Amino acid sequence: MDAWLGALFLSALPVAVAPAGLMGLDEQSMARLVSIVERVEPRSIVCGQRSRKSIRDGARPEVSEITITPEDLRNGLRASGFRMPKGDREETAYLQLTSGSTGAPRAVMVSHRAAIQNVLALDDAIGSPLPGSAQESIDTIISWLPQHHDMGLIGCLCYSFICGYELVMLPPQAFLARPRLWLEHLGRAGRTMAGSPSFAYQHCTDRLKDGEIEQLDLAGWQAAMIGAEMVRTEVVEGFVDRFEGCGFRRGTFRPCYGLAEASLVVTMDRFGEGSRTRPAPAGSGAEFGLSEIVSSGAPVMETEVRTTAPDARVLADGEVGEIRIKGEGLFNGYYNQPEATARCFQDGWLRSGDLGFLFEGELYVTGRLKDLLIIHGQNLMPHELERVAKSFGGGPSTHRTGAFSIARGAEGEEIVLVSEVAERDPEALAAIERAVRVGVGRTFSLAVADVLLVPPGTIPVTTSGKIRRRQLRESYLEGRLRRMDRG
Amino acid sequence: MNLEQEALEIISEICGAEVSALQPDTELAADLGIDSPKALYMVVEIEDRLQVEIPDDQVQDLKTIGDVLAILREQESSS
Repeated sequence: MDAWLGALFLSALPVAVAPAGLMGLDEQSMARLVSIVERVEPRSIVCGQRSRKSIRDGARPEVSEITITPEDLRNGLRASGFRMPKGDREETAYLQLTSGSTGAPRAVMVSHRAAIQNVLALDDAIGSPLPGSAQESIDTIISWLPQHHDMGLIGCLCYSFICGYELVMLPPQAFLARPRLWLEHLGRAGRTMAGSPSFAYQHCTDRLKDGEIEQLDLAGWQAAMIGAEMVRTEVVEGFVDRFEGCGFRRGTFRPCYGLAEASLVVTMDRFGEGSRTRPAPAGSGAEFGLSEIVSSGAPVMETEVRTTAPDARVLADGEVGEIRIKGEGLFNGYYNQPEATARCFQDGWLRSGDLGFLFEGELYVTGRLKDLLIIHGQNLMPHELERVAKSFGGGPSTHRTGAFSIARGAEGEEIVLVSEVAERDPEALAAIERAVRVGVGRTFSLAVADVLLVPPGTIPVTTSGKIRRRQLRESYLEGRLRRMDRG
Repeated sequence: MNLEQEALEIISEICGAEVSALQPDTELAADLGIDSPKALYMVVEIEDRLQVEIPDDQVQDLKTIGDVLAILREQESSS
């Protein structure tokens, strides 16, 4: 964190990267690091001892040569001659990586102005339903979020030092292993605030024991941001049921929507009544299979949201279209990717790649145009899953594979994998399905909700051979895909 | 109850599967839905309740029920 903040002061464009596993970088994280280096062309990679050793042992010279530890960085600096940079607010302050766990992520350029404005907008929205402003009602942010995630970076770290809240930071692993710790801090530290992806609240609901809950007093918890992935009313209600006995109020939940390209937050609930839903408009529920959509709230300060049809026509309330955003929190573009940046904007509005509808000034997110899965608050690209499905299952007898997410369970997105196989033998098919599940389980530490083995030619593709995943999902949800393994 | 049996009880609590369904080749993620958050919780819970220590470098290699039991057997024989 010090290195990140220091780099910020030096206008040195820090890029926070997800840390490696407990024992340094494995093959997957090494490959990802190399693709980040190629995209972002850093001058240095700053990391801990273990990671540096992994990198020095395993990576190409161009990567290992630039890898140093925070101690090296400190030792290399000259104390004299440092002057606080003037700083142009429009200049890029840092890069936020967005996308999956493998492959080349995009680097979102966040300006000083955008980060500051988004934090102030967040603070304003948080304060809305509280008796006073957020500043008058809250003392401390309790965060377990990693700093490479925009909710942790802007929603906790920047939020704390720009608005002056105390910040308590738990290592992500500590929260996941012992979710009770996060809740204990939320109860103990005065009037508190926290933000988390949906899965983290469910993790607390599932893991805390009755005896542990009896020890908690959550009356001081003023705001619980919930976002970064699909918000399900079942998750909110489940948490309320579990924790209202120790003082947690439903109204503390604050559903929100955002993306890294808008710094963090685009809309946030201002009512403070917990999650409110509307029925999914006819046909749109097919996006994820949802029948009820949770409100993500109204646009925050200095931000506008609209929904558009494919021909860019602005839609009315209740009509599902692409969510487009304009405002002071938008990014400066993708680093080293001017074409991708240009494609993101139309008439000055950011194309989010998400689908939803507006109703009485609030946004309801129903699906995604972009091919992306979000699990545990992290982006996962379908092609990463497809590659694993193809390599683990069936080998040469597997043709195309298609991955998408649905919301069949109560908790959030779940993975469905479709593999075209030429195989007919039931035993061989069963073995392929097993291999795919095990492959995905071991690679991503995730269970697959469904694996379909289908005849070659089933998966719809464009004329250029790109998989049409949304159409595939629609066929799946409507039960129109013929499964080989079920005869 | 020995360590392995207690560990199976803990895992059963976490994933909701019956202890009888937890076979050596049962995959933690694919079969039991034990994703990263649950896996981390599982390891610390086993360590705390069974008073054992699972070295950091072995946590990533826990892919099946059998892997977990093997580590506990090592602990039992060395103690």
